[in-house]
Amino acid sequence: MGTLTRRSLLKSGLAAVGAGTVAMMGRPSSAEAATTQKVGKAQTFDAVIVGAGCAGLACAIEVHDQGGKPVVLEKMGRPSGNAIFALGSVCVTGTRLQKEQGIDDDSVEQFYQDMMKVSLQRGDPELTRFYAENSAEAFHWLVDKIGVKFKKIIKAPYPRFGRIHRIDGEGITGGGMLIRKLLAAAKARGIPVLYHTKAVELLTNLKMEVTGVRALTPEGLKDFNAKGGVLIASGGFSANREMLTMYMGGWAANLATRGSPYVTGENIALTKPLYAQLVHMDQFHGGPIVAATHVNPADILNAGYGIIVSMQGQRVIDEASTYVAKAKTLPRVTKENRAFQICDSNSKNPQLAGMIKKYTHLNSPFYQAETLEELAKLTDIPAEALIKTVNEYNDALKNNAPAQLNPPNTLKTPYAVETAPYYAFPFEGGMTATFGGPKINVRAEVVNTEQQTIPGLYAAGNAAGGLFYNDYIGGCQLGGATIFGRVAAKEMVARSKKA
Amino acid sequence: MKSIYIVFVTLFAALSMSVFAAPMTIPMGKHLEKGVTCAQCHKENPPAKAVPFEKCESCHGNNDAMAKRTEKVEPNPHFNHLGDVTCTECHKNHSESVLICSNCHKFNLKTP
Repeated sequence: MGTLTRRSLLKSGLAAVGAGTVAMMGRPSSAEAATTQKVGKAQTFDAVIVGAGCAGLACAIEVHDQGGKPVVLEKMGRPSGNAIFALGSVCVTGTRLQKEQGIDDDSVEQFYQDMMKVSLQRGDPELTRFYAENSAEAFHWLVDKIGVKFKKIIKAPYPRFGRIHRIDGEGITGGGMLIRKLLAAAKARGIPVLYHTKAVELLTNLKMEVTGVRALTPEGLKDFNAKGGVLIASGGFSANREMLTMYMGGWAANLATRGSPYVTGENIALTKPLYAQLVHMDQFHGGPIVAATHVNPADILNAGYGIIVSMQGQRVIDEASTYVAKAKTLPRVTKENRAFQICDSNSKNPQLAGMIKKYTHLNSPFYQAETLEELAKLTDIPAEALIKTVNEYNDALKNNAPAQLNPPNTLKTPYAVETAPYYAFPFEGGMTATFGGPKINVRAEVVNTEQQTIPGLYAAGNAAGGLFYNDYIGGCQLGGATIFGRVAAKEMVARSKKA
Repeated sequence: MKSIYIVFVTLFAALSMSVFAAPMTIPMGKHLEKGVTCAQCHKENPPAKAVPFEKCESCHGNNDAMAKRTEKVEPNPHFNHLGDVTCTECHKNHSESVLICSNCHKFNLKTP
């Protein structure tokens, strides 16, 4: 060991880890101490934050503003979590923007009730209430401290109402703009954001309190000590097929990824060895997507016109179900996890023109034909099957019995597929984000299997478990990341001051 | 380790040849056409390391400047939701350039 060079360290990575670990335990030989220093001298911060997404950056900025010293560790070369793929809605209530627009028909209590309803009463009530009570403050923080610009609120049906505050993407996704602004705010404060730095292990003391993070950096392994705590803000595990299979089943692993391909379950891998209580592990948000071009076809699926058929020409899903349900069902009822939304040219379809424009603009193949035979040829659907399916559907409408079809069609006002030209929009079922993770309390502290907090360990955003179940109100992911990321910041700074 | 060694040797051989015989055996695309020499980008001789972003920036400007230059391109490749992408993720000087947007999208963009 005494003559270890950088090259031999690279060759014997495991030996290097071993030497580092021994040194950490306080009895290094002089040669091993030298080796540890060569691998990476430990640095100490008030808060060590894993992941440069919405939760992580919001936390880092708040730690700084509370007088603490944060560091952000990001495994990729730039922020690469789900936020940059988001349209950029923030779901909040009680804001100045709502007041300016005269939206006064909501309350924190009503918001809380609706969030609970959407989670089938299975979201953690305390976390949900905390979210509802603190949402407006988080919104104002994004506006006042981060300089995020929001568009005019467009009122929507339940459960969105006048709560959806849409970020102005200024030409890119709202989520992408949010991350740009958070990064700029972090940079202006001199907060170190270390890229290509992947947290691989949580460091603990003999009481198993979390004292820091060991990370793989371009120079090798390095320890980041945390006086106040470590925040896990690495997102969920929607891009980790092994975990999806393990926690949900193989069908879920066949869903297309709608967000980041690098959200791979560090929230589980890092916290499980400390017996974190992992909750809602089978829960996720699904939505349709064209895997090859990333067109979001949700609007045409929601339009209430036409039918959804498989590659074999069979109807496979009740067209009245939500786009979330359609996406979640598709990998279970088709082996390809793929289907076509078949529409005719009914002039009342409010989404048809927009969807044609969208697919065209994004060079995403869709099909148009004067006859069903021709449409079948273009889509490779067996013509006989497609025509039979459309005829059966139209006949069922005439007989007023679409609910007797298999699967049933329960649209309130279904329309026959009868006016040429006909259209076929291909899509896949996709996964937006997972909801499961280490359970947190309203202080963003991670709770263990015995309901005790794990001192020094925090989680926020999609890395944390408890807030969402079944579904969430659009805009609550970014809202939750902002709220609980900043809660963790305040807790870690306070804990660091006490240390 | 062995493969890195082979790459290095090949690179070195190619560069050595270039000293004695024109044309260059390492493709350099636009940079060669404009008469840019190895040493203008690479600090070490022979070149061994990837060129840092700052080096590109010193001639071409930063991401904001590039975004302005391509603001008429639809969609603007230098102003995107991925953030500040490093030049060499798309622009490959010694091999064919790529478009990282194509990991998810199908845009009609050509990367010089």
